[in-house]
Amino acid sequence: MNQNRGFTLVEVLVVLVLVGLVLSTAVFVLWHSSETGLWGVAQAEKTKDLAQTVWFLQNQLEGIYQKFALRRQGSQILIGFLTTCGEKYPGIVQVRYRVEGGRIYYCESPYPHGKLFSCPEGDERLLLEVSNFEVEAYNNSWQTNFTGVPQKVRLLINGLPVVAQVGTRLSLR
Amino acid sequence: MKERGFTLIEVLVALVILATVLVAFLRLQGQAIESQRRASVLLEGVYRLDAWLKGEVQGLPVKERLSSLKEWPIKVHRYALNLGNQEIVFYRYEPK
Repeated sequence: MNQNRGFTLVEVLVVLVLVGLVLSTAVFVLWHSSETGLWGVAQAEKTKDLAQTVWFLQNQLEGIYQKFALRRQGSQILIGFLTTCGEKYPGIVQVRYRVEGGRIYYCESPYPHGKLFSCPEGDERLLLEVSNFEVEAYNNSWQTNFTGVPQKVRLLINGLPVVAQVGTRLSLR
Repeated sequence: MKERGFTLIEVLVALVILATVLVAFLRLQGQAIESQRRASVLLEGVYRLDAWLKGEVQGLPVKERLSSLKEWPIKVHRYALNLGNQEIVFYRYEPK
């Protein structure tokens, strides 16, 4: 009897189908896990950016010094103030937050610089992309446009409520 | 030279090792995504509790406890917000 006979067509087909099934399952699982992994990384980045921005903004608002203004101009919200908590410069700094089209932009200048909402060309940078942004300043009542030094500033960033009690922080450095 | 293929046992052992590694990898990924979700929930909880303490958010199930330290002239307020299997705790100190 010949011991070295080959495989029949049916055997080869069955093996091919089985190998195909195993491989397609493995590829699907790997592809799905890679998509999930990328999604997880993006979510983690978003959470980190939101945490950093909110912490930074709250500190700056708590360190407001003498001047603050909140204004809505068309589709943009402008928040300008002097603060003891700068990012680039030590001491008192003048900052401007501009929110437009679901994006928060930040500009910082050493004090004194100029008008409160002014920003040197090229100094503005994108801070965060947001799905919703609300801001109000409090001085006996909540106001959506404000000039002066408020007692409190309330923000809602991506559903996160942030309250800054003005004057509770002198400096971060 | 005698050429022989893999035995069934060898192939099965290799498949088991591969599957184990993949399962471990997927579990690790699941844990990372769960950690990210917890971080997001904690972040929101921290700011909600902070806003609650400043009187700007109502209806938060915060448990408050007051205690004092014997040898120190301070009172300690403990505010705890339970978020299922996690808890956010703020302490506020004030003079007695």
